[in-house]
Amino acid sequence: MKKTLLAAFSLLAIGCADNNRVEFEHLTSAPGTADVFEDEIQIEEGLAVAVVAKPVDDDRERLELDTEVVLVSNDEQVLGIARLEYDADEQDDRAESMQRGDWGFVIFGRSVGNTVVEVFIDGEREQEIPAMVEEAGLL
Amino acid sequence: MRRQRWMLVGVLAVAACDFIGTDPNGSQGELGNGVFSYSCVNGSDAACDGLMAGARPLDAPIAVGSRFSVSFQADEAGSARVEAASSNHIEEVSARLDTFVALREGATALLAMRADLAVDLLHVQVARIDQLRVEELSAQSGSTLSLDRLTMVVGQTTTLVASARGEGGEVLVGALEYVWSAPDASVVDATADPTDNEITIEALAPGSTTFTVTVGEIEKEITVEVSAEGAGGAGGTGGSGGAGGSGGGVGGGS
Repeated sequence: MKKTLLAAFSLLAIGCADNNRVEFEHLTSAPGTADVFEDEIQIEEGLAVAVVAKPVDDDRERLELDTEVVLVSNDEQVLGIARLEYDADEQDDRAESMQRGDWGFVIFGRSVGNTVVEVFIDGEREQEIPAMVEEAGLL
Repeated sequence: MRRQRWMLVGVLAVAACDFIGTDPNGSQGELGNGVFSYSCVNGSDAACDGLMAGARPLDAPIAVGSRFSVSFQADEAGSARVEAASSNHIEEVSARLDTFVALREGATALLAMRADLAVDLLHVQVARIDQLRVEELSAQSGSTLSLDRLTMVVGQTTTLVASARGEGGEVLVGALEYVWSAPDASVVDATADPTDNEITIEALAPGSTTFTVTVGEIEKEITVEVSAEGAGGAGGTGGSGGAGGSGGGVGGGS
């Protein structure tokens, strides 16, 4: 019984310490609402915005440079997500705001509706961000 | 050392000008990774009629219902497929030809994609057609078009070009179907290509006739007044005659 409790506490502690997330930075602006934040995404149908996703830990400290970030839209018919072509090793200047270890994405409103964006960091699902795509002028 | 630096600056400046100058129909992507290039799908697109006054086509609004083509060339070698962010706003009609149709008014994004990766993006504006404007394409005929009234002398030939305009009178780009009604064939001979926004008019005999040009639900009326040769009117020299030739003639009544 004592051992089981110990194991449970250990797992809990690991779980708490491993609460990673991403911080977003906008690379482009759209002619309307296209906001991507770590707790909410709001975008008008038809608009697109390029963002940088920086993987951080609970203390907002940057994770290892080789940390992989994947964003998945639960409904691709509502919200589209495409990873930005960028070779971090090349350090090219095609996306000046991006640094080695950053992950760029283009997020776009395909059609009006609500969905969720799942954030995977090194294969672990770490976040769920509610996303809303609205008609122009309604946001 | 200083001289070399200036030479380098000069070379870079020339290279930059050369790049910008290579594609007057191109607009830089918002991420700066390449150029989106516009092209007309047929002759009915105002962007290919010299009506843009130097503006880049993708900076101008695209007419609702019109067709157009956009390709993408990356700064680094290679092209990328262009797709619309939302098919509710702009729909792809031919992936092979990068041809799209504008469906809904408002701003919308075009994405340059390589496989599943985004290379760049560009927002364009789609606008509703508010009015049609008709202008004389060539001034050499001696005819006069003023306030939708075309004045000609028997024997003259002129070409009119119609363009879709937005609420503020701005040129809307994109290929549209312009339908010209038939004017009185005893007064003028009219020839229009169904895939163009132009009509060629030859004055045959003194008189007056009216015809219309229509795009969707928007219609514009033009009155042609033909005077006898040497009777004054518009003056000027005779046209080249023979407006027939190619082309499908004009459509039925208005």
